[in-house]
Order: sequence, then structure tokens, then C-alpha cells
Amino acid sequence: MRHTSTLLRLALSAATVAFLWATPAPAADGDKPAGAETVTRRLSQEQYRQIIGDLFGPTIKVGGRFEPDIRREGLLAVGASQVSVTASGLEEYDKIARNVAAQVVSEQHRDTLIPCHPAKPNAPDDSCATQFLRDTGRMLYRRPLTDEELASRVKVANDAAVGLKDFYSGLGISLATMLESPKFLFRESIAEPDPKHSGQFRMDAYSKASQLSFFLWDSAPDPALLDAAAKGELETDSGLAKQVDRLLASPRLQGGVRAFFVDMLGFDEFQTLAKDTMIFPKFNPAVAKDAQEQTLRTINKVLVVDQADYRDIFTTPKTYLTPLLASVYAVPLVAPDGGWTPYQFKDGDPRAGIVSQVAFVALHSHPGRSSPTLRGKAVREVLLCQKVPTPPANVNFTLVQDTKNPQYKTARARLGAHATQATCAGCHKIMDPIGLGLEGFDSGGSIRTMENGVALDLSGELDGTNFTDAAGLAKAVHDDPAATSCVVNRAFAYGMGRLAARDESETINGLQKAFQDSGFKFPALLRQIATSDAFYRVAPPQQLGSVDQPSKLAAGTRIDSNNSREESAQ
Amino acid sequence: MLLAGRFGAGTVHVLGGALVAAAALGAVSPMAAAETRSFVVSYFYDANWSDGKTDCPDGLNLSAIDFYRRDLARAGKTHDEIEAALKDFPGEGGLKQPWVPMVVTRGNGKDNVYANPTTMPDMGLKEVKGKYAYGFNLDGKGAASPNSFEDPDTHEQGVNNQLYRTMGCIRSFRGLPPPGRPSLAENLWDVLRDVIPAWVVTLDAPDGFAKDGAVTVTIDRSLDRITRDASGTAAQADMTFRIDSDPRSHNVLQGQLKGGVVMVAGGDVHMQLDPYLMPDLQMTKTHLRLAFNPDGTMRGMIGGYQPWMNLYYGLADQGHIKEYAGSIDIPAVYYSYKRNADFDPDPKTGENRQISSTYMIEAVPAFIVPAGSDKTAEAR
Amino acid sequence: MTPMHRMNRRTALKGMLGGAAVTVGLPFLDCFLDSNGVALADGAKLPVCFGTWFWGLGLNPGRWEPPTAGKITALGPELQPLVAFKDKMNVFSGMKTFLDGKPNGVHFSGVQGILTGTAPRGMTADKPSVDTLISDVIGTRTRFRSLEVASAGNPSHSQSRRNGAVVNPAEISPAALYTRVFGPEFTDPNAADFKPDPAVMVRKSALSAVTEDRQSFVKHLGAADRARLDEYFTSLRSLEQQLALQLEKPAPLEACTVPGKIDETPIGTEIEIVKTNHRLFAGLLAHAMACGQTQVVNVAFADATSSLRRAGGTQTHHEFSHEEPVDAVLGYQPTLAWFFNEIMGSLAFFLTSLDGIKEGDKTLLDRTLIMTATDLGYAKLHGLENMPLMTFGSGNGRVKTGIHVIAQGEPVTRVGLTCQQVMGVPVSSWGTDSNQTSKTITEIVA
Repeated sequence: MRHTSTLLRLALSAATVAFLWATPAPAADGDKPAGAETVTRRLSQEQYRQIIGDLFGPTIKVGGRFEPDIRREGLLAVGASQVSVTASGLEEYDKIARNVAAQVVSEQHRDTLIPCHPAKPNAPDDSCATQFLRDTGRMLYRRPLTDEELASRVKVANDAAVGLKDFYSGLGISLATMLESPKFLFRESIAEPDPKHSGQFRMDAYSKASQLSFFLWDSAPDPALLDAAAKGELETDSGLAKQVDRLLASPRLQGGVRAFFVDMLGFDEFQTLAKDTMIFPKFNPAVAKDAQEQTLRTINKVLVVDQADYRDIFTTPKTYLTPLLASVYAVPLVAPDGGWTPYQFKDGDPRAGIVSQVAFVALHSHPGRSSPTLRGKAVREVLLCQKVPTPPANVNFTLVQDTKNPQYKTARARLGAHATQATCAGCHKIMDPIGLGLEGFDSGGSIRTMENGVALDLSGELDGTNFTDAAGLAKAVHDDPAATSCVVNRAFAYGMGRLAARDESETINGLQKAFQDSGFKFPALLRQIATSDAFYRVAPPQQLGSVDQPSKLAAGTRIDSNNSREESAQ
Repeated sequence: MLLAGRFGAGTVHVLGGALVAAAALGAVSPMAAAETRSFVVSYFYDANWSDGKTDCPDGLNLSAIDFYRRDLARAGKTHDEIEAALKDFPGEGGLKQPWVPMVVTRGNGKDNVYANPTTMPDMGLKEVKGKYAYGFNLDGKGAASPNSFEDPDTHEQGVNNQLYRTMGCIRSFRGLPPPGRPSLAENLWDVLRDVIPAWVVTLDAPDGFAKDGAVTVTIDRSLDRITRDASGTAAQADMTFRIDSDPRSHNVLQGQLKGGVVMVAGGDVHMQLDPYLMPDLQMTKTHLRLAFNPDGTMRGMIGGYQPWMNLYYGLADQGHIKEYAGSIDIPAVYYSYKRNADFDPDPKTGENRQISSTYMIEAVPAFIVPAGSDKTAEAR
Repeated sequence: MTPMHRMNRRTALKGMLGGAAVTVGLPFLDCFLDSNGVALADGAKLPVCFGTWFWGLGLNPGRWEPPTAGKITALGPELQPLVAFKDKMNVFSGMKTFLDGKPNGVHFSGVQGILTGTAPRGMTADKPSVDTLISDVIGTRTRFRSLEVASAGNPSHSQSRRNGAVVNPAEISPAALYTRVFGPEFTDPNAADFKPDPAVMVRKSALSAVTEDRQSFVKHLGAADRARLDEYFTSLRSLEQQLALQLEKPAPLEACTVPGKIDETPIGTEIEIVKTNHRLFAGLLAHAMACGQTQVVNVAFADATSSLRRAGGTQTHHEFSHEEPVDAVLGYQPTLAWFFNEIMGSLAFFLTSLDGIKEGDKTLLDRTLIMTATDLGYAKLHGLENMPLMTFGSGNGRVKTGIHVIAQGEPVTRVGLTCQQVMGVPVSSWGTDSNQTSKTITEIVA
């Protein structure tokens, strides 16, 4: 048993290592890490909304369906570097862009959002269009527009104003084209030689500003940050630190931290989460929404407001509840206006900490019943960054069923076979004993002590630490060094949009140590990352030849037997 | 360790702040401690029994369009006039529909027939003639009570439920199949409960619920409304409700717990309600029978005498709208209430002012806190 | 009038027009149509359509295959819901996806084999799906290159992809699809008058500024990013194409009727909800094709893992496939079979929606070729042998129907290859490694 679990732990850590390192870029001269190739990331739905809100205020509604983000290496922020825009996706971006632009230039908004007036309302006005598009473009593209870029968009505005006989409609058309431009939708990192490390490259000032702003605030740089970039302040350690500290001190940090945990905890899966309403009548969609908010508020309080130890999120008895959540937890709650109310569980209550919160246990369950395996897997992969191998394809589950008594009363009994069958035991041993500690919470997140008339046994084990209930599990997670190293790796990958390169291990180790020295304070970790050279380092840009002909896939595409496309010579 | 399974919300124990696990888990000890269970009413509707045939041997009452035709013909309208007015019946039912003004004054051509039902003669509502009805022996006379029924579940004789007799052969008030919710009765409550303050019921058993004994039933109005659960039909369980301290809706009844069933025989209940159903529930000689389901919810009946004019008001104030929507011939119902009323004779006229009635209650567990409380009860 | 170029499919099967690229012709002008509005004046038919219909978990082996090869006289019990279409369908049994030593990506490798010709190395596909290859040929002159729908509520259930990690996201809301296709931007082909909308002209011309962004944008990109962004620019061209078409008068289509507006419906994985949404989608897609809005449709009934469930049930279709014991008397898993019956019934509804649109003396289904796809041959063990494969419709007469082909041990790619060829994709072989094939299923080629 012990032997097996040691082997498993070794296997796990090997898997973890393999899991965490990206393919290395060619090393530069000397022993300094070279960084990996720059990644171009598509804006997430939330970032898109955030930028529109920053720029045009909260009354502009962003409607429509965004192309789905994808998760890679555990993060949507990494998946962002692998998505493009499909035809139906761009159709939607176009609709959203026109809709937003129409609102911005509408009579209701134009006086507050457009700082100038056209000489004549039904004709083009070069100077006003230029002013608006230049200032707005700088915020949208996250850098000043080049002369060509500005001229091209002013021309669009002018031509459209002529065609539609209306300055504002013309301006709206031009604004919409900016909102669907790759320069808005994708975050590029433009590389320049690094004067501090000869032979290496770093992001240019505006790319740095974006890198920093999306990391801490999940949005485009604000005017002050763009100004700092323009003035070259981000190239000095003190200038950069000043901006980092400004962003960290701002209330907007909460939004950024929130965005990180929404990604890390996989809350996007809530969009397709279904619970059977007959079996779990308490779990309506409003509960799902409240549950996410509860976990995020809990985390925010510990990490940002109290600046406490990161590990406390697993054990804190303090949380926030709405009347609906209180009903799921079966606790009385008088909420002053039916909204969020601080709530504290008693010491030792299994409902303390984010692992037993509804957003975790309900998300990692089946629609009709709980799942110790899914929950154990989630603890491993989401909170401890440990990869669980995929099940073998040819498992025959009927072998494990007792035909005399097909109805196992509790999940523990049903999964008992997992522990005895050799092909199953290897992996299930690293998942089930964790999740069994959470069986006191059904698939809808509600607390229970029985299942099918049998009292529940909530004992389990995490890598050698035994526990008898969810509170014990929470403590085991709290004490596991993998928990803190996981969040360091995730935060770095989130900010970079990729896993750390193999030769960035020194950087990661440094971050781990600093995190520990700080008492595991999350803002300190963010600061450490945001002020490091590694954060802004990029690989040497590829030798780029002439720009390709645009490929004409619309008509005439030859496909050879290897199924690769060749562009026709049109 | 965690406490009791399903009766969670109700088991808010008050003695000395300690939580009593044993009683909650149903353990019976010689000194069983007091227990409280609290609930919020999820459904409240007429308890009308039907088997589809024996309750209404004369058939069901006419649909609205048909009794409008009948009454308008009686009022002297020609066939063509009637059909022209009813051409797009019901249309949107608003006052602009041509049939509405005719129907509203169908008694004498000028007075509002709902405010003045006697401008119509008694057109003879078809009433329940079957043997069974849900309810209680309110007058104590048992089988000797005139017009009484037998309860289909308990087989108690002498059940007084004249409200059912009046309404039970109107299609929208038939409880098919038993113990189904009559469609209009269900709909009225369903619409109301999103907007009216919730009704909460607290049961205090000094010797616990595991054994027979005395039980106090407190019915209050809350300051909060119910929330619907994920299915959209039942109330969300384990929500917290603040009690409205207004004494007009505070009712304490003494009852007995027998074999797990709570029974009350006597007392007055007054609950503020809403004219959409009726302005308030005023019940006297109130009887209750409440039972618990394995999932912790509660189901039962409440019965007693209530002023029939109050019930009539709940119909008349919406006039033609409720009339055509539920095919309830309101002036005919007036006469039927008057005729079937069975309690509290008017000293001057000798006519009974109250009518026996029974309603079903479906309730889910809830937490109850006094109004103005800023301290929530302890978590279990 | 300039004659239209049309790819002669016989030429395709022989292996090509001397390297010349396929061109699809000019806009439909109504002078091309004959007086019935059905056939084109030079006798050619209404354009051919293609579609895929995907469901998860395959079928129970031995319970779907017609009893004999050749003309279909009967269908196995699990295909019974489709019996009304037995003369308009083809069934292929015995085909498999080869892994060539790669790990079996459960609920993934099999469907990739059928739709992209390749069993992927990991859990990321990297080849385009057959519907995109076909839409590049037949989908370039319609407002929508293709339409994807998923009736179980998740846009990622779509199996249609151009390449790499990301699928073309599917519509999950019939109401939203209605607005997208028949909403304010719909031009009724049968409307008496047509005036190009000046706003559309302005938008189309404005988009060229976005195309111009390309040069300066890709300058800074690495090679991998460039390839990825290529898809963005392809999508941009589709958008321009859409606008260009909106500026042309569409040819009248007699069979085109605008369906009634669809209200929002609940979205989820519960089987009744999925069936309802699927029915609405089926109707919308049929009308969309009849009205010339697209010629390629892709339906994902549910995800490959099949999260379908019954109300009040604790287990999903997928869980039943692994956990339900084989019934000793019946010889198969009964609840699993129940779900399959619901799914095949829905497929029948989809086909009925197409077949119900009369176009002259034929139906929309007759000029369509639907290819089904699934992820497994035997769900319980994630088996990739004997994967159930079917086609429906005769693709404007290009395909013979009513035939059962037994291709024991042969790669599933034969179906995808044959469909591409009859659709006019100039390809003589398709697939990689042991899934590579050049063996057209000649039995069904007209």
C-alpha cells in the first residue's frame, strides 16, 4: 500500500513536471533563459466587455454570442493563445461591434462619448472623426495608431458618412471596423532587443503595458499606463514598479483577481452545468450564479481585502451568503435586502473553505448524483495542479457489478470495485479517497448525512494524510505544498498565456520562494511576477519574409492526398 | 458531526441554545425534549374531491359563453345581437370587447350584476351531489348533520363542506384526479404567491414529534415572499422568513399529535390575504390535519366556517374577468352560497352568514425568525 | 448570359481537370430559371446540398445492420425509426477507424476518423472536417458557408472544424438561429422587388479597411501564430461574401417559405428538451436550404460522450453505456437501446423535415446528401470496430440509394472520400496512415 502510493506520488509529480513545462525555445547565449515564442492571444469575452465598459461606460450594452474560449493546460488564458476566429464567430463579432458602435454614436450617448461636433451633422467631418478615432483607437489597440491606421479609419468614416448622409452613422461604421480588427481582438506582443541582456528580446513598452494590465486588471491599459509606456517609464525598474504598485493598490485589482480565479477554478463550465430539477429542486440557475459569486467573494476577502495567507481560502469559516445559498446550506439567514450577507460557520464545520462550497462540489458532480471521482480529480487538477491519467479505453465496467445486488446504496460502495480491480485501482486511488470526504454534499451542493438510507462514512485520505470529514480534507489541502506551488504556476501561466519554458525553472523557483517568504500573500506573488524580467521576455522574432498573398480559399482550393491546402495561384 | 437529515430547517431548537441531536434523529428517550418544526406554505387551494362522475351526476355547469348566451337571451337580446357581441369571444376580455358591457349588466340592463347579483334571478347552479368531500365534522353533529359528506380518506362522517358543494361542479374547480389541485384554485394561488407575503406555520411539540402528545400550531404571515424552486412549482425549502408582528395575522391553535399526524379541532384563524383570491381568510371552528412526508415536506387540510360574503367579494371584485376565465356564473354562485351557508344565522333575517369550507395546504421546511431579528438562529 | 461552370463529378472521380481549380459560377440570375422556377433554364437542377448529422455512442452491434448486402430490404431494430427512408438511404457496416498504435482517445478518435480522416495523436484534432472541405466547393455562393447547430445546449458539441483546436461553434438556441437566418438581414428570394441596401454597401466597403489591417498585423507574428490567424482572415472573407450576396438579387426559389418566428426555448441535456430543440432546428435548416441561405448544414444531436438524460434520472446516456449490465435475455443494454431509439427517431424527424419540402416532383432531401457520423462502434468498451455509418438523400441524383454495403475491416474514410467526390471536391484519396483510402464506394455512385 505504502509502496504503491509512493510510486503513485512519484508518477504524479513526474506527470506534474511534464504537465507544467512548455516546449523550450532555443537557448540564447549565456545561461539566461530565452523565454518562449511570443503568443498572440484572443480577447476573452470578459476582457472584451471590460474594455468596452472602461472606454464607453456601463450604459453601453454588449449583446450577442461570443465565440467560445477553450481551455488548455488548465487555463482559458492559455487556450486564448490557440484560438482564432471562425466564420460564424466573426459574423457575431461583426454584429456585436455594430451594435456597440451604434450605441456609442446614438443621440443618447454621443454628447458624452464623442468629444467634438461635426461642422454639419449629415456630412463627413475630417477633424472630428480624426480626433475621436485617434483617441479611441489608442485605447482599443492598446497603443497609438500609426498614421496609416488612422488615415484608413478616417477615410472609412468619411466615405460612410457620405454614403449614409450622416456623420455619426459614418463614425459608427468606422468604430465598428476597429472593434472587429485583429488589432483589437488579438493581443500581440511586439518584440524589441533587450538592452539589459544582449542577444535577447523583450516586449516593447506598449506590449508591456498590455501584459501588465491584462494580468492585474483583466483589461486593456488605462490612459495613465499608456502614458507611462509612451514616456519610457516602463523601461526602468522604478518606473515599472510604480505602475505595478498603482495597479495593485487600485480597487480594480479585485476584478483582476476575480478573473484569475474564475479561470483557474473552471467556472466557465457553469454555463453548461445541468442539475436534474426533480432530484435537486433547490438547485436553480440562480443558485449556480450565487455559488460562483460566493466563492469569489470568499477568495477576495482572504487574498485581497485581508491580504492573508493564500492557503486560508481552503479553511476559512467566513463566507458570504444570499437567501438562496442559505437555503442550499440549510442555514437561517436574515439578509437586509435579500442580497449578500457575511456569514461565519462555527469552528470545525465541514462547510468552511472553498472546497466544500457549492461552486466546487456542484460543479464537479453529475446532473443526477454526486461523484467522489470527479471531485477528487478536480482537487488534484484544479487545486494541486496534478494531472490524472485518462482512463483506459477498453474498461469493461460490467465486470465490477455485483449482479446479485446491482443497486449500491452509497457512492463509497459503488466505487469499492475501483479499489479492488487492478486496472482501475491505480488511478482511482488518487482520486476517490479525496472525493469521498465530500460525499456529505450532494450533487446540488446541499448537505446530507445519508444516502439511500445508509449513514455516510466521510473518511478519506490525501497523499497519506487521513481525515474523517470535509473539514479534515480542507486542512489536508491547506497543508499540501502542492497547493501553493500550483497557484504560482497557474498565475505565471495566466499572465504569460503559456506554460513556463523549461529553462524558466529558475524563475518559477524564485517565485515559489518569494511567495513562501511573503507568508503566501497573493498580491505579493502578483507583484513578484509583474516586476520580473521573465514576465516581459520574449524569444527572438522569427525571420519574417515578405508578407504572404492573402490565401484565396473562397474559390479554387486544391487538396492533395495529404489533405493540406495549397493556395491556388490566382 | 452533522445533524439530522431532512427535517433540518424545522429542527431549530431553542432550549438553552444547545442543539438536540437525539430528538432530531427520532430517538425516543423517556425525557424526550421539545421540538419545533417550521414550514412555509407552498400551496393553498380549495380541497375539492372528484372521481369524474359521482360528484356531479347532473353534469358540470355551463361554460361562460353558454351561460352568457342563456342570460342574454333571457334579457331579451335577439340571437343575432348575441352572436354579434360574442363573435370574437373572449377577445382580450377587456372592457372594449362588445360582449362585456352586455354581460356586466345582464340582470336588468343597467346595474352591475356582480355588485347587484339579485338583479338576476337564481339560474340554478349545478351543485355537488356525491357522497364524498374533504373536510371536517365542524358542527359536531356527525352523520346527522344535514348536507354532510364522508371524507374519502379518513371516512369520517358528517363532513361539512358547503363551499365544495357550491363550487365543485364548476369545471375549473374540480380536483381531478384526487387529490389533484383544481386548476383555477391552483392558478390563483400560483399567481398570488409571487407577490403576497408568505404564510408560515410553526409546530411546537413539547414532547417531541416521535410520540403522541400536545402540539401548538402557530400560523403567521411573513414579511418575505416565497422563492420558487428549480422546478418552478414548489417553494424553495429551507429559506428564512421573518414573522410579521401584525397581530391581525397571528394565530395560535392548540392541537394533538397522534400517530405522527397533527390535529386541531377548534379555534379562530385570521390571515390577511388578497382580493385576487379573497381579502382575508376568516375562519372559525377551525380544524386542521397535517401530516409529514418522508422528504420533510408537510401536507394537510384546514377547514372551518367563513363569511360567504367574503368569498363572494373575491369573485365579484373581478367581475367578468374571473367569470369568463373560470366559467364561474357569479350571480348564480351568489345564490348558491346564500342557500348553502350553514352557520351563524343573521339575527334579523335568520339567514346563515357563514359557510363550511376546506382548503389543502402544501408546505416545505423553512427557518422562521422574529421580525427585526438581526441575529440569525444558529446553524444546525 | 455567361454559361455557368459546373464540376462534372465524373471528371472528379477520374482524378481531375488537369489541375485546374474548381470554380463555382456566377450569381444566380432569374433568367436562368425555367418557368417552373425549379430547374435552371439550361436544365440543370437546383444546387446540391450536403450535411452531417452526429450523435454519440454509436449503436448496439448486431442490432442495426440490414440482414444482407445489396438492396436494403429491412433494417436492424435500432434503425427501425428510419424505415420510411429505406429507399433513400445507404448503410455501411463493418468499417473501422484505425489507430495505428496511437492511444484510443475515447469519444474522440472514432469521430475524427470519420470526419477528418485522421486518428489524432492526442486529444486535439488537426485536420479539417469533411463538411468544411465540401463547403469550400459548394458553399461559397451562399449567404452562410455552412450552418452548425447543437441541440444539447453547448456550442462546442459541433464536430465541424477547419483545423486545429477549435470547432466552428454551433447555434444552441433555435430562436437565435431564426433571428440569424430569417431575421432583419434576410432577403426573401421570392420578394417581388429588391433594392440593395445602401447601408450594406457601406459596410462592405468599410470592411476592406479590416482586410488592409492584415499586412501590418501579421508582420509581428511568429509562424505558428500566422497559421492560426489565417483562419481569421478566411472568416473575414466569408463575412465580405455574405455582404456581397446581400447586394445581389437572389434567384426566386419556389419551395422557399419563411417559417414562423420561433420563441426562446429551454436549453439543456434532458432528452425532451433536446428533442424539442432539435425539431425546431430541423425545420429551420430545411427552410434555410430551401431558401438558398446555405448549402451545408451540420447537426450535433448531442456531444460525443452523450450527456443525454431523462428527467428525474440520475444517470446519463453515457453512464448507462458503461454501467448498465447486458440483459441476459435480450442480449443488449436496454436503457442504452432506449436512448438510441430516441436519437434515431430524431434523425428520422430531421430527414422528414427535408423530405417534406417539395421542389417540383422531387424534395429537398433528394438534392441533399446527408452523412451521419458517430464516435464509437461499441460504446461499452469504446470500440472503434463496425462503426454505424449511413447516408441519406441522393445529392441531386449523384448518389444511388437503398443500398447496404458491407466493408468488413475497411477504414471509415471510404464514406467521407466518396461524399467529397460526389460533391465535387477534387480528391482521389483521403485520410492518413491506415485510414488513408482511395477506394470510392462505387456501389453508390450514380
